[in-house]
Amino acid sequence: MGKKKILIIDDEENFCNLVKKNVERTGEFEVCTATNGDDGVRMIKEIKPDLILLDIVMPGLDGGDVVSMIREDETIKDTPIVFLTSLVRKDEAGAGFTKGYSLLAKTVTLGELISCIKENVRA
Amino acid sequence: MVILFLLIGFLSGYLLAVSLRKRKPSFVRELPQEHSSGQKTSYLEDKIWYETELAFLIKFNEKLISAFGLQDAVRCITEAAHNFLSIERTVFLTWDKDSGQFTVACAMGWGQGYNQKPFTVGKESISGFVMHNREALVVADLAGEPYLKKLNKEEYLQKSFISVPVIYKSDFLGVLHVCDKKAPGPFTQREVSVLTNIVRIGAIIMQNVRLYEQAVKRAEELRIAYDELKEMQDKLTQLEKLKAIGQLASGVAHDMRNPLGIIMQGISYLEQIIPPSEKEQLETLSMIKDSAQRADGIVVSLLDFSRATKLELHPEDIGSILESCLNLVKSELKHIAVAREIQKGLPKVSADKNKLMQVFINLFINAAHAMPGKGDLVIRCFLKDEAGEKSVVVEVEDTGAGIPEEDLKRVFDPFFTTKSSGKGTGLGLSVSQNIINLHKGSIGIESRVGKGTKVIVALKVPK
Repeated sequence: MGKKKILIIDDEENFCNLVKKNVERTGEFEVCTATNGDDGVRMIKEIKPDLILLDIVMPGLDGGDVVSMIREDETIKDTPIVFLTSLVRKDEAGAGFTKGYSLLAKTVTLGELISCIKENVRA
Repeated sequence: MVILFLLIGFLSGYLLAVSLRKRKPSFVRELPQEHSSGQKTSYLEDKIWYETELAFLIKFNEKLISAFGLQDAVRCITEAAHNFLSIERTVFLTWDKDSGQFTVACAMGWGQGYNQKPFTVGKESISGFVMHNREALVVADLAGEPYLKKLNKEEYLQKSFISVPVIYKSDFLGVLHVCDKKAPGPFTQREVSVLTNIVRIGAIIMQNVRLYEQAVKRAEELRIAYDELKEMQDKLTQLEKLKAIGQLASGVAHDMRNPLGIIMQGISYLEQIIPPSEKEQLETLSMIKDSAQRADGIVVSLLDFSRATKLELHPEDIGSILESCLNLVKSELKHIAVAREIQKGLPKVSADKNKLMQVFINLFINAAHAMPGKGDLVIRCFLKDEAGEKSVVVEVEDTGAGIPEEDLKRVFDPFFTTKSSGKGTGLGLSVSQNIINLHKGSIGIESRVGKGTKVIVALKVPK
């Protein structure tokens, strides 16, 4: 059985790269990165990830827009999402698009990040 | 002839009844001008009388001017009348135009003296009759005045009496009754004259005292209104300030979290690739990690600060919230002797549990920081009842360094801290105050340098 595919969508390139390095070091996941919402949606359709780590505040398509586009597309609408954001609580995201998804702060420890990924990744 | 006499008798009775009904009797004008024995007074007697009267009135005037309050003035007038005339009883009734009733304000020679319990008399009484006629009523024998006898509601008016209305300009203030002359014979014109003078002077002073008391009351009302307005204005200013700081803090916090996320991920990466043998590198990394986590803590405080605007209220038991908070900060308080004085069976208050926990934890940690070596922390929780307004009060008292007076005024200001760098953001008490204000409660602080600090939180119990 191959490694689970994780897609991280965040406009902070350095953050994407470091998360990729850290998560891949576990040996259980393959991590792809996208630094804006448009690229993110395109890659979701292309690689069909088993989990998306999604930022909320981004220029262009933001986290909310990305969630709407995923939900509208039958082929990808069930992709698990974990929000990885500078916001702390769900109610800060304003609209209810985070409902039903996990939400982590960007300053989360690596241990917590990995266990959240394992908990939410598509079986 | 008999019929004629009967007719005359009936007519005179009718005329007397009509004159009483008109309530314009002229008792005073019919009084003897001389001694009650009927003898004419000599020039010398007159002079002595007038000088005595004058000396008495001057003394009375001096005493009355220094009267402190309305009751004191009333007592002074009653005493003067009672002491100058040789009588059994003196009773002063004040008139309350709002309730339309008289109240015994002072009495002498009647029962327990002027310690009589106040009681009221309505308009249908001899006092009401005097109020209506607005002139002194002199009665030699009440038994001979069937109309007045019928009106009599005042048990102290038994035989002979003078009732003088206390009037200032057109304002009716009350009635002074002097009752039952000790010496034989009716009251004289002179006695009525002295009494009228006492009452006239008394009425002026009573009115002045009333006006003064009204002015003091009005000034007090104005002061209270001003204080309330000032407090409201301060709260609004504080709220606006908090809102502006909150918006700024929220923006800064979010922007800070992105680079902090990168730093934390970078640290995690380095932690994995640096071999355990490289102790110095790992130690340096640990220091960077601590600092980054501290910075993240500040960011969380700023975010807390910016969003302390909404509450999720439920009935909560403050005692158990305090216990949960103490449990959470156990390790911070391990060097401190903690005493709990939590009253049993306290009523629940409408509160946001998480936000209140944030407040209490913040207070406990502040106390712990104030007592770095060792110390005592007392946590009290009790019910306070102030004029029917019930509150659950929490006191958090430490034996720490205390806060200087000049700093005490600023402890609730955002970003004000007395702690060393890295120990506090200066937002804890400001956030706490904001949370307690949202609960419509109050938070206060008392402190003495070298003795310790006490924070008092009061939360209203719903009626």
